[in-house]
Amino acid sequence: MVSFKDLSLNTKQRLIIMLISSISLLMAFSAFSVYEVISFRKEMVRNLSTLAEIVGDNTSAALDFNNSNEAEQTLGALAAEPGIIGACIYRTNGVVFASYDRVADDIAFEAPTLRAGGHVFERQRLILSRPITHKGETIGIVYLESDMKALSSRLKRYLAIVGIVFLAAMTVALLLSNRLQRLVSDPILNLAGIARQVAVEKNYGVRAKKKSDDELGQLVDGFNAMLEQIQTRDTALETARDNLEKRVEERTRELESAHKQLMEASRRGGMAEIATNVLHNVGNVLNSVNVSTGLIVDSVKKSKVLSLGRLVALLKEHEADIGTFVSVDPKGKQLPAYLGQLSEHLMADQKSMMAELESLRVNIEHIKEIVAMQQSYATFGGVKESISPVNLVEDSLRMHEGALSRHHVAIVRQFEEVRPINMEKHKVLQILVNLLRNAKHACQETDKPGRQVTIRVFEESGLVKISISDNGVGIPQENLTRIFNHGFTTRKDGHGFGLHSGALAAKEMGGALIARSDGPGLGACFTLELPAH
Amino acid sequence: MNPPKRPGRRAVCLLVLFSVWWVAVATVGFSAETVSSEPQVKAAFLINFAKYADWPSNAFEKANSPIVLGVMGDNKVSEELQKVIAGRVINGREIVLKRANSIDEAGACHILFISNAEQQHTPTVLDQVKGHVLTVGESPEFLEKGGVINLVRKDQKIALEVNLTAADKAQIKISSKLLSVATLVKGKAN
Repeated sequence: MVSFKDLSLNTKQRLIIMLISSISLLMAFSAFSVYEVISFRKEMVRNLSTLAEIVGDNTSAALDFNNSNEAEQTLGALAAEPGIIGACIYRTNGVVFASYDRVADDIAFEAPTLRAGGHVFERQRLILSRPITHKGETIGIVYLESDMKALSSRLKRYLAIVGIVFLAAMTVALLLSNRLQRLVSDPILNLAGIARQVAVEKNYGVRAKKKSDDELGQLVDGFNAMLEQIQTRDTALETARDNLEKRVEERTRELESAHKQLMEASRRGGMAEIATNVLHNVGNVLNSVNVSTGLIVDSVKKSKVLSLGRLVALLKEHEADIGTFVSVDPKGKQLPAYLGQLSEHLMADQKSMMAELESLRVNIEHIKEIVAMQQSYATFGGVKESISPVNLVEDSLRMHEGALSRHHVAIVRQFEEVRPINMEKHKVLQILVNLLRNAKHACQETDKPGRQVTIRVFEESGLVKISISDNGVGIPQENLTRIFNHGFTTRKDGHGFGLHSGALAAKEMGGALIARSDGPGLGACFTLELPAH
Repeated sequence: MNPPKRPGRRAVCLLVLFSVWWVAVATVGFSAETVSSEPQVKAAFLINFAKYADWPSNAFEKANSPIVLGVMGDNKVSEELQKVIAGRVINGREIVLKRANSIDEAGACHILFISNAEQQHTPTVLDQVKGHVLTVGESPEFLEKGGVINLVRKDQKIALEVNLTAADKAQIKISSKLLSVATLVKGKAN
């Protein structure tokens, strides 16, 4: 059931108009009906009085001359009046002189008790009595009783007419209301339509048409003014949005270039790190080189070559009598034994120096290798090549060799056979170096004995995975989520950039960098996942 | 009558029964004291004739001159008349009772009742009486002899017979109302 307030404006107006017109019509009709009933009653009384007068006049002789037959005959003429149920004539002393009963009804009429003159409506009847006077003398009373059928049939006719007129009036009212309500509803409906259009199409350029200068016209004006304002604001907003877009674009560009710069910086930083490692390693080796060189210098300094020179000069002094000198002279007699000793010394010197020189050669070779490796990574980036993950891991280990052994961190290798990856070598290496250094630091910070870093290389669900796990300080749960954030670090000298750039690089290469830790003191495991070639 | 079903019907029934009872009681009571004797009826009729007859204006001296009702003969009727006539005013005229013992006296009356007792004089009286006299008789051949109205006994009642010719001759107009309760008889035009 639709409630009246949800009906459309048109229907509402039509209903109101119809309601008002039907109420006014009904009121008019009821007023007329009441008037009709009252006037009809009056008319009935008048008619019946006239009838009573006529009857009285016509029966006066019968009364005077005691001819009740004649009186009955006169009353019998009342049959022509179908409304008369019964009638009677009394003498002045109240005795019924003559009476009449309508034949065509089943109600037996008996002359009632004489009552005072006048009329009364009762029991759907009009009862009227009049004295009969003749020549100034009252000689009897006529009594008439009429039914109200005439009134009711007249009312029925009246109601039928009312019904027809009502229907006709309502039809006319409906037609008129259909036409006239447009004066009010058309502008409103038009306005509603435009409001709908604005709502649906978001088109604030449309305008409602003003047709009159009344409140509706004002409404249309107000609506249009509102649309105008909205349109103005809309335009301003659009401009602002365009500006914003431009600014966002600019900012994005700036951010992108900053990112690039950062990436470059990180690459450089990574390279610098590698260079530092290389120099560190080179320095370590150079230590050994220095030691070897010092040893050689010492042994050359302490060489018995000078004793050999003094021996040669002694022999030159005794050139002539060499035989005698060797056999007779006490000094000469010691000479062979001394020579034997000297040669033994020189032999030993040569041997130790040879060993040192060999060590020197090995160390220099090592330096060469380190430098060559650095050179191989320091070449410009952007070139992808097929690399063996295991070799990369070894390279990165080599770069940390010195530091790891210095801090007594044991390395456990668990390498499986994996497919090569197609990457920019230095990027992956940078990540691994970074992870290894972190692992080393994590181990360094714990006092537990048996510092150990386990490196696994394996393939899982189509990805090559390199995991570096330590048994160091571990990572608290709350830090795990922000460990890759830019600028996050737990170290005093950290810059919070390594893991961030590492994760970014891994993502850039189509892989991922995942951190896992069971909590503080339980170690951590970082896994680099990379797509296989 | 249908058995009463509705309260309205019952009320009507009660009313009807009551009416019947009342009418019965009233009639019995009334008849017990006022059963009209013939002289009484005739006396009433004689007075009433004054209402249904129009005399020419020269029948009266003045506008309010009384109507003179004369009785010839029967004492019983005049006795009854004496009882009821006092104070009767018809059409603004008093009605007075006189004995008519002579033709002259009879001629001075407006209504003249000739009783059966004067039957033998009737023709003479009717022949000789002059003026505007409404003659009323009670003998069988009264009208034939020139009377205007005759009172006859019929079905235990007193009925009227009118001789219009005689009325015309006396220049008396008899009301059609009276004629409606009377029998017209052609009689001697006197």
